[in-house]
Amino acid sequence: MLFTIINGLATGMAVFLVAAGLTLIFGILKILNFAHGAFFMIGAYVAFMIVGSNPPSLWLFLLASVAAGLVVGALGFITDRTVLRRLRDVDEAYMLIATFAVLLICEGAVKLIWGVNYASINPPPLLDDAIIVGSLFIPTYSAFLIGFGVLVYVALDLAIHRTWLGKLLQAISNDSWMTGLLGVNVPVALTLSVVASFMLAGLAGGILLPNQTLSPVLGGSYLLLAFIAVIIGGLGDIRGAFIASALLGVIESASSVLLPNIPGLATYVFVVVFLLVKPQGLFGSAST
Amino acid sequence: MLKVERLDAFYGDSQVLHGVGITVGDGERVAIVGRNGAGKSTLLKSLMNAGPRVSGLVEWQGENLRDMPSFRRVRLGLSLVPEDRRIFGHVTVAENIEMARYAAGGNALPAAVVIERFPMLVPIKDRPGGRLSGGQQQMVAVARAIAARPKLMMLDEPTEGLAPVIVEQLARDVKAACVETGAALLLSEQNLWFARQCTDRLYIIDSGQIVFSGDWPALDRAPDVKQRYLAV
Ligand SMILES: Nc1ncnc2c1ncn2[C@@H]1O[C@H](COP(=O)(O)OP(=O)(O)OP(=O)(O)O)[C@@H](O)[C@H]1O
Ligand SMILES: [Mg+2]
Repeated sequence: MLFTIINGLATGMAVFLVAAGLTLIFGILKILNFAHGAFFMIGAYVAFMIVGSNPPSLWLFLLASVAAGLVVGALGFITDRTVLRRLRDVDEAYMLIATFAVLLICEGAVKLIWGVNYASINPPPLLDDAIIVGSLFIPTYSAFLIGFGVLVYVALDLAIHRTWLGKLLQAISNDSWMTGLLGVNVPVALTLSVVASFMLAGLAGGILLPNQTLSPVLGGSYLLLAFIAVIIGGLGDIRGAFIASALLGVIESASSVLLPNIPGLATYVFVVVFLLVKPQGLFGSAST
Repeated sequence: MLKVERLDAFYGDSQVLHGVGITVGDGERVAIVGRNGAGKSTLLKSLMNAGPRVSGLVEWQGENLRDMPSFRRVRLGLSLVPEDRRIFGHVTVAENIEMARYAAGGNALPAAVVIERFPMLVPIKDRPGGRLSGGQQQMVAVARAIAARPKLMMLDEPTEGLAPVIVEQLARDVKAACVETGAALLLSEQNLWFARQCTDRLYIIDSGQIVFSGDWPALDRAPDVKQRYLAV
């Protein structure tokens, strides 16, 4: 039982790492970024290019993840300049279509650059082990994921709620017109948010690389659960996304033990029931 | 130091301002009065480049502002308090005021110093912006503008919907804040009493055109003007 929960939390944190960037970009720019998963995948490929199938050390693995974050952040900057920024003042439907187009372009680019072959990646040294407590067997990589997820959450929450940059971003999210009238360079702040969101996608791609099968369909793997976490968490709410991700992970993990023949069913039932009971999301407000 | 000439403003295809010309000198306090829909808000927003499409000259301290975005204008010392006030609900009164400092950077005043100037704000400084009365919101909005140390503060119908006693308090506080900081004031109003308390001269705007310019005694000497453009 405890094993199921820990396993679920690890899955949940993986979902959260993907959801964090999604909810950030939604909270501030009101963009549902379909391409987020594709950039997550690009991050994974970038990290893979650095560490290969058998990461030689934990440090190189972490460094590769950061590098993936930086590369994808730079791609975020380019995407913002070429696509997103041009669509800020038009109907939201255009933005949805545009991010979908970006998704297709990214998937095509990944196939062109890295081919369609599969690769599987082992955890780096130190994370390929297991912690054994009594009868409990915890893969160190799962423990690492849980710790890393919590770390990312705490860092983001502090950045948004305790720093002035975060407060200004919240102000933009609430009323960008007035925030501009106070002297904030809103266009630059929005570009920064896009870059931050993409960096999170790239970082997640690197961190979640071990135990994955790397292939051009990876982009979709966590995206659905991440979108669900963002919706249940209350669109744009980091804390909500964090808790929702953990919940979803545990539900997935429990249902794979209890209902092994119908994977995913419990999750969808949970989502439907949740949205009927609490359509506003976990904490009831849609602020960041 | 503010010089506006031949200013036209449009929402989509409909033209709202027609060849507006006004000036506001250093530290001068000037009112724009006119009926509902006359174009007062449009004029103030045009000066900040915050909404309508604009053509004509807006010159500030000798510089033609052209299509400079509003956040840059703020940094040059222009500041607008919009008619709907737009206090941020997610932070406190003090943080709303502090926000101006982080937004505009540079030489803005600390919230504590600004709050002292507005006695009404002292007891509510830690209250969330989302839980304020209309009068309190207006005070916070003015204080937030003052915090950025504007050289020209623009207030858009600050008295709208406020109780008379609050209007009196606001008149004292606005005037005092301008005098103490040396800020000029461009005030859009329908409340003539309030406008007269706060300013030395006025423009009357009607259907997007300036139809009268002069000091308050000059308006007293022209009852026909008052009757035609301001009577309800
Ligand atoms: N966003 C907008 N889009 C289209 N037309 C607008 C818009 N805002 C204002 N108008 C029109 O422009 C004209 C001037 O409006 P404006 O808000 O400047 O008047 P005002 O003098 O501020 O009035 P009030 O005293 O009611 O605030 C009105 O006819 C109004 O209908
Ligand atoms: Mg108005």
